[in-house]
Amino acid sequence: MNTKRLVMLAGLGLVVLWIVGCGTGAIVGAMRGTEGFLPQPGVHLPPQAIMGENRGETVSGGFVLTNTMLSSFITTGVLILLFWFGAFRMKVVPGRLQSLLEAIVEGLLGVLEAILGQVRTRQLFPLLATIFLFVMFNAWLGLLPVYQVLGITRYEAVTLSELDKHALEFPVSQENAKLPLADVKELEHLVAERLVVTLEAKFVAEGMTPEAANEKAHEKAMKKAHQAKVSIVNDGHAMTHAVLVEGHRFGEGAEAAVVAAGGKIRKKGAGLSATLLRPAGTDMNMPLALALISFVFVEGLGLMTFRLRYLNQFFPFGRLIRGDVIGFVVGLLEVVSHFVRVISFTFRLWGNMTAGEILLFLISFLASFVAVDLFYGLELLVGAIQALVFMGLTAVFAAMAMAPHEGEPHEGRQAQEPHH
Amino acid sequence: MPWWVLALRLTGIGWYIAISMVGGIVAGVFLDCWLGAKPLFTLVGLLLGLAVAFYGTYRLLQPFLADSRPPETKDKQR
Repeated sequence: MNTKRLVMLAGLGLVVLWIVGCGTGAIVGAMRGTEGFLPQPGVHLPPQAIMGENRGETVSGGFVLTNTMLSSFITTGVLILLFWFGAFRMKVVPGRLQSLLEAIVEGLLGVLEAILGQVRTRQLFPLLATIFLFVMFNAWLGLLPVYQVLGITRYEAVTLSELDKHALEFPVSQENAKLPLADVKELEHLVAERLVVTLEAKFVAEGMTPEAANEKAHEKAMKKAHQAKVSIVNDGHAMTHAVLVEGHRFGEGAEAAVVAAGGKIRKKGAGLSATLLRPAGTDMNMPLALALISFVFVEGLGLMTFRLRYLNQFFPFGRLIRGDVIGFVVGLLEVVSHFVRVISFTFRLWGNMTAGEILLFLISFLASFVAVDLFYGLELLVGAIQALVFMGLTAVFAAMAMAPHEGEPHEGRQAQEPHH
Repeated sequence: MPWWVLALRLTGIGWYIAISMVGGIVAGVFLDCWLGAKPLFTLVGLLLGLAVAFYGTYRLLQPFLADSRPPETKDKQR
């Protein structure tokens, strides 16, 4: 009776939260003309640096620690700790953790044995299980709330394009849309001044002489600042669009310019320009790396099993000599199909993880609290399935690489036999 | 083999088709820019890509086609 009451209370709480969540979400907010409970989510496809001078910015080349890398390190650490504590003192009658791990390992063994057979499963298990566990734990850990809460605040290091999108806002109500002209001029001046400095540095870095760089920077900055002025005069709030472009670091200057123009700087919501942790699957580098590992693994297995004869299915020169040109071209098609695997591996995992992340953002934006829980369940499922698919496909390809020329036309197999 | 292993093997086929076609077209556009024969190589690349996509898909599917012959032919083989 008591538990029944508890369950009912919990259910009631959920329903109340559901209603409140729908009420505070963006859908009802849009109907009533109010803002949603959560800020509009910004989607960053590339990973962001979390250390060094470009903190919070999108990475473009060089080695920097990004949020996705950090989360993949954490995933690795969690897995190592989990298996260390579960297995460092194994008992015949397993404890809780040990039996959980045993269930995982046995389940994986069962799946793989269906594909590879018992002997090969034992040989290849370490890598395949690692792929599975890494992908799955990476996706699942990414669902923990800490992943979207810890982050880098916007004003420590922020790109102009981000300021452009989220942070800076002029008072945009209809009445005060027009700024005093003197302020606008002041703003134009400020913006031009700041732009000259950044542009000049950029041009010099690109290898221009200081004089030429100065001249070009002046020219460009004046143009930009003028555009800014025009758009401010025209619609009162468009400064961010016109000036804060081209990805220059401009944080304080832009702020000063806006303040000088009588604008207000408003932080929206949590104001994270970059989260500290982000599931590594949403960064295309991780799926690509895994795909390449899987590719090298499979081709290496093929080469180890058949030595150089393995390459015969890709470049069947024997057929070419016999005048079978089509057979040779078909061999080249095989090369294509092997490389396509890398791409399909990469995009499948990356697409699923990224779509899941965006889905969660959007649902919690549209209707806060309860509605998103369903999708968390969905994402748990997606994470497990993608991990299974990644591991399973690698296993299938490995099986194909080690099977004697599977998928080849039969006449090809017969024609090759006289050679060896 | 259980059915889901066969299903796994089918998952890459869409990508194979897409990449053959896009690859053919991209190579054709590149050749056109290089040799200045504007629509010719793009079309040739498209056709080649289509042919590769079709034939490659056929070959990827061949094991499954062989497995799903009507039962009477299978009986005859036994």
